[in-house]
Amino acid sequence: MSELMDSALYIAVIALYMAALAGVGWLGKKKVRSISDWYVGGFKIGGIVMGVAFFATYFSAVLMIGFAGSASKWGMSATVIGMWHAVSAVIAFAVLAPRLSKAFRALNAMTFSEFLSLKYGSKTLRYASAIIIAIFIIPYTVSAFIAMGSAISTIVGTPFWMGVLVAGAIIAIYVFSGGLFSATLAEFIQGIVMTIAVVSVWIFSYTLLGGFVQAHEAMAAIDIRSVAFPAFGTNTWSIIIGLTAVMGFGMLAQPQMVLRYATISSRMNIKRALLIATFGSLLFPLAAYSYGALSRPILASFGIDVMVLKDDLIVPLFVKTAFPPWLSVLFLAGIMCAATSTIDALIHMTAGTLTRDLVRPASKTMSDKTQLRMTKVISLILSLGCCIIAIYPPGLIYQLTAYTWQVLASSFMGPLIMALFYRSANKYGALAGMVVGFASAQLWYFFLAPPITPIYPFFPGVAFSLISAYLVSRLSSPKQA
Amino acid sequence: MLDVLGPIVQAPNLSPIGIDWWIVLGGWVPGFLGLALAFLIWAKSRGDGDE
Repeated sequence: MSELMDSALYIAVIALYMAALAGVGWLGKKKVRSISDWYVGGFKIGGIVMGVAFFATYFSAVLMIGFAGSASKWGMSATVIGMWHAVSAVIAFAVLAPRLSKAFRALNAMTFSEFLSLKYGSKTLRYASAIIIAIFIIPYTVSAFIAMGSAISTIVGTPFWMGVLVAGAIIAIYVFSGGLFSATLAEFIQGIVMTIAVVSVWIFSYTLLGGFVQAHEAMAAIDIRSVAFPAFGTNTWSIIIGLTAVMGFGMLAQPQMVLRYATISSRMNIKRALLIATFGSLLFPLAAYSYGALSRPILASFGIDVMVLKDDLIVPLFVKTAFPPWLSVLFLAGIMCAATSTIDALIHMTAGTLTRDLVRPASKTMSDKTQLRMTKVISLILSLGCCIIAIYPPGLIYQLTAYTWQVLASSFMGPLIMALFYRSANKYGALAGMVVGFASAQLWYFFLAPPITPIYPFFPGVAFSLISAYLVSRLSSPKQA
Repeated sequence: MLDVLGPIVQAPNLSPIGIDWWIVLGGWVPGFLGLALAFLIWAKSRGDGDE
């Protein structure tokens, strides 16, 4: 009977959440008067909202469920990955955002591919980048659906596929109606809810183990490696170092993140967003990786050994087993907020890119109204497609996410950085940076990635992208000829 | 190189909070420094009346 009551409570939370998002979608729809409003919020989004939306997009159920679940096996060294996110947020807002928002506005660019195309005067860049985004963002979107499906199925007790389909329905509701306005407004609310959920679970985990230092001692008692940094060259070492770089610095060239920090309304708003985004980027991953690591001694006290469990199922089981129902409900709400805030950003960006950068150039007579309608239909198709793939998970959450981020960072880091900081950068250099970065990351991934070598494909991919973009621009610039 | 550096980090050197110093110095310190820098930039922009 009690379990039935709990399930009813969880379902009520999900229904309430869907109703609230429908309200936000409706509010956003009223604000969408032009194509620019849908794509970039008309460049009118304020600093505080954007700061919260930034880390709500950055961190998702992928972190709360997938990475935190893997952290139960990696130990406290996983917090190193999370703490560097704060440094990346500072670089994003203090160094890149001022130049990027100025360039986006000057070019009236509405997608990342359009920005590259207009900046370098190359249609090839537009098509190539749009194709890379459309294909390689899918594993990441799928991983967010997997996280949400795992959480709902374990906590509520529904089948996994049903959890995934609920996520798809939620996404469709508000992305379909309001574009970036409703997405950003929803992310603001979601960012607050998910932070409260993660911090509550974090504090409760330490309380269960008797305090801050006592918790670390309990971890050390089970396995001293849980509180140690992994030995140089080991598999865990390469994961920690690799993910620190990929999830930290790789973020700077993720198209969905670029759209977040390139569309703020003023310089003062960038500074406001910087402070809030950095604070969230420190607190949220620190809490998530910590409770992930702490789940091992806590679940051990219930007779459960995390080392024999699938990573993506550890956190939902942890929450269901160790926490009182009110905290499980809060966590479930946080998971839904975290998953949907990231998925909506990805769907929004991919649908926008497909329509504006691939379909529209092929059809010269397409009106803005038709374009907007087509973008919304593509959003729906993408949501459904990713749901279907997520029902049969092709890998662990952290593996799918890391793969997407490495491919995108390796392809776009060179063209993006050169566009902002190298005056002589040209389309040949940008194309070389994209192609060489993409190809080197792919080749490394298939032939030299861990465990064959301890180096993640991100490192050669980004290095070759930057070097080739610079060298080719320099060699092909008219002054050098 | 693996043989030389391996043993250095295999034996944990625990800090007073019960986790390895490598984790504290390699992750927590840079993270909090980042937050401090963000605060300074924000405070400076307010002082300058940046708009």
